[in-house]
Amino acid sequence: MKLLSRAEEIILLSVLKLEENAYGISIRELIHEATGVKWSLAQIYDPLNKLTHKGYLIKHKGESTPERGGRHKYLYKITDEGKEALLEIRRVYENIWEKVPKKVLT
Amino acid sequence: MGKSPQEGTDIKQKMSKLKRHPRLAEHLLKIIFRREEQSEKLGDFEEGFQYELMTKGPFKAFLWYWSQVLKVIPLSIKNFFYWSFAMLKNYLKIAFRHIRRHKAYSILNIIGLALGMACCILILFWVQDELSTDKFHEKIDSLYVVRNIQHYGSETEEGMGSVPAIGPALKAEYPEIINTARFNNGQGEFLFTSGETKFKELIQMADPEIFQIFTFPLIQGRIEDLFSGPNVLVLSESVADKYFGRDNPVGKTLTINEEYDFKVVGVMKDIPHNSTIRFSVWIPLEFANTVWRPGYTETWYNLAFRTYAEVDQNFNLESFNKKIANRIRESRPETNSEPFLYPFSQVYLQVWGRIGQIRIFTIIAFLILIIACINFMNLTTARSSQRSREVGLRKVVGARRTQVTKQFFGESVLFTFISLITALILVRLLMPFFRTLTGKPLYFLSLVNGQIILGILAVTVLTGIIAGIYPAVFLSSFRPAAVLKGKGISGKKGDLFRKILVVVQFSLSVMLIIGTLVIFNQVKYIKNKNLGFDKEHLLYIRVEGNLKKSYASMKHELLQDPGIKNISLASHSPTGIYNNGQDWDWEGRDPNINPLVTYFGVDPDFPETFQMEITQGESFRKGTENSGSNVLINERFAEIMGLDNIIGARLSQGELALQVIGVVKDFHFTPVYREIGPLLLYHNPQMREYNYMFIRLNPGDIPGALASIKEAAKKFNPEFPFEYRFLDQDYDRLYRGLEREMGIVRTFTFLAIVISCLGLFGLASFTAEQRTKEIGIRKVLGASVTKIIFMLSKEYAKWVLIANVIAWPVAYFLMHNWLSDFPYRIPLSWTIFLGTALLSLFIAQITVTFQALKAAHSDPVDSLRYE
Repeated sequence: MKLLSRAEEIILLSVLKLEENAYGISIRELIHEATGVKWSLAQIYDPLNKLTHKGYLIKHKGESTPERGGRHKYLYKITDEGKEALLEIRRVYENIWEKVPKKVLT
Repeated sequence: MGKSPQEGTDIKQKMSKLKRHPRLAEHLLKIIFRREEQSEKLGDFEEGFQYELMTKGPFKAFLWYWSQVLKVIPLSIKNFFYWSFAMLKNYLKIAFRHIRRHKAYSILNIIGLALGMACCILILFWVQDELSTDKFHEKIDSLYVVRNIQHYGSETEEGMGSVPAIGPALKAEYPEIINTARFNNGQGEFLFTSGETKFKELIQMADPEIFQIFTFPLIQGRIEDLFSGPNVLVLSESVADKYFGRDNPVGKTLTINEEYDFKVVGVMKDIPHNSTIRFSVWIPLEFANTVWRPGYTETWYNLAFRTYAEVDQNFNLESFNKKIANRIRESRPETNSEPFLYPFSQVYLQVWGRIGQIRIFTIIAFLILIIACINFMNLTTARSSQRSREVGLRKVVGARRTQVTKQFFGESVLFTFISLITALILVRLLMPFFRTLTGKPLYFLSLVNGQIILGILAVTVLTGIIAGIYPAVFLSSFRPAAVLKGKGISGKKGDLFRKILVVVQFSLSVMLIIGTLVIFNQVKYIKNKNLGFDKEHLLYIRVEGNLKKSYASMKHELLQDPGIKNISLASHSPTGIYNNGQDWDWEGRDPNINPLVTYFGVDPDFPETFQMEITQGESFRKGTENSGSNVLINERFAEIMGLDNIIGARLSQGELALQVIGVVKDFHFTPVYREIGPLLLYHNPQMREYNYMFIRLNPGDIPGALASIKEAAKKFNPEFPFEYRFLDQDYDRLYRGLEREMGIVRTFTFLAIVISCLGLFGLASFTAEQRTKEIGIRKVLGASVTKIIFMLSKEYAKWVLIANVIAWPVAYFLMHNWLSDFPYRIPLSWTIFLGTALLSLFIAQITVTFQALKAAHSDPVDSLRYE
């Protein structure tokens, strides 16, 4: 299995959650809400590029809005491989968590 | 975060009221992101900006935008490197594949360029060494030579000599002169005795101050001791080693010519090869006052000295020279000499005239480099059509023109670096050969310094870029559709360009050939020119020690030997007459004429021994019935005197009165590249200043004659070791420098031609290959091998001829200029030019024919199947 970096994982999850409306700004906002940390756009683009390159995401042209200065959005969508990768990570986590004794955490 | 259309219009209205995002930052983004990404990324930035604007106000939004943009930069740099590295890897892979697939062509290309670079580097080493002459003196920038202008009526002559009194006078009278030191012109060979050790060495007389103003460090002894009187001396390290081995010679006493005792007070480091001042044994100039005559070093006349001055920071050359112009006249009103200071650092380049040679060599170095670059360009473009598909494919998958250009520039620089490494190996291997060729102790490692490395790297990159321009621009202009359809590229434009390059290259080679031939002929002419006397079978020994008294008996005894034809005694050797003077007067002299006349003291047998022609009057009479006032003059002097009846004319200089009894034909007593000046041969029966005995041998039994001379020398002068020299060797030595340079020029011209031919060879093979099919068809249709060879080679012959026509006027102009420095020179004859044309045609033809033969002999069946 290909391991993803934490940033890539978070971005991939965000895209999955945002469904039809995943693009730079919306992803950034979601991450801000979920983690309380503001990422710079550059920090988002880098993993986005890598994920697209690995084939976990695909990019397609969306509508243009006035607040974008009339420019088109580029929406990201998760591919089957992307979903598979996330599930894989989840399985790994669950496997490991299962074996962690409850008392260790308290 | 979808927004309703209603919200959108609200924002639009707000937007018109509010500030827009920073323009400059947006431009930065446009540079960072590729065009395809710009819509997405710029849109995101804009949207984020608007959000910040609404929630936090314009100033914070402005900051936000900028900070976001700046944060993108590291990412984009990382990406840039990632991608360029990937492409670089690909370019390198393709380049090396290309080299491997076309081994012969690549080797030809690399060797040609490497050879050119090696030549260039070697010549630049030489140039660097020439330019470094005298620069090792630590005070070089504040050192000046006190030179002299002689006024001969309306004419003036600048010389390196100075009168002896001027140096001390300048030091005493002008505060800006810190120190001065005088050398006596010329060095004499003397016999040294120390116990059992006996040796002969040349002695330089000079002021001890030379060790203060010049960088001649002492490795033994103290500098103060050099000032402790006239009878001290300093040996060079190698002389000390030669005669004393490990013993420290300081404190030892040496006897010079069995007469004068000298104390060794120091041993100096050997003077480096790139010094204009050279000596290996020093004694004080003061000694001249003892040995020659008192007050010798204090006169305001006699230019037989060289004076050097060290100046302080306030020194201004121009105003100083104005101040001292009359200094000699103040002490000696009748003088025609004016002193002036001249920077010592310029002496070698300007006074010795080396700058001309240095320029010629630098030009040759760069011509060779240009020829090699042209080769490289030619071969690369010729092969480029084979890469058209690659370029087409690259363009189809999205390569921009600049990328293709960069690729080919890169490849060209890569090739030049491979060539550079090859060139450096070549230079290292050729170093011993280069040392013999130049006669300079040049060593690879000692020549390599930061400056040279930077220079070589710069030249390499420059070569790569120059050589890569045409392939890069030409190849990147391919239209992918046409190329991939297999149409190939219309080679017409490239063809013409290649031909022009070949013409330029051959023009340069032709110029080099003409230059070499002219220089070669001129040097040969100088060496073989009739000197005005017969220099063969003429040897000499020095008159010294006991021989000073007994030379007459020795001469008498030697003449009994049948192997010896004539013997004459003389004050100097004809290759080294330093004795001269002015202020001669004769009847009807034009007061504006005051020639510098060279004096040559001889005995009556001299004209006969040297087989000189007496053109007017008669020679000295034999025996002792000569009058000391009878002199012979040379034709040049007779011409200057301009008298109708020269025989019997009276010559006077002050109280001295002489009478001309005959005129000898002009002979070269200075190197042939100098003009023959006026000369006066005198014979004084009471004269005791004979220094040389010239012996003409009969051509038969030379070893036998030598043996009897040696025996006689042992008998008459047992204290001194027997040494003799042939005069023609001395003359050869005069031209050794000239011949050396001739050798360098010849070698490098040859290499330039080889490089040109490599290029032509590659090009011819390429053309032959391109025309494989045509040749096959021609053969099938019945063309003979000769016809095909003729067809393939006639085109090159045409271009080589054009190159000749272009090169001739340039070469004529340059060589005419070069020859004009020689008073005795060869005419620039048309045979040289014609010969060069034939030679270049011949060379080009051989090169091309080799390929043509291969093409013409190939089986048409194979060639028609080709591709």
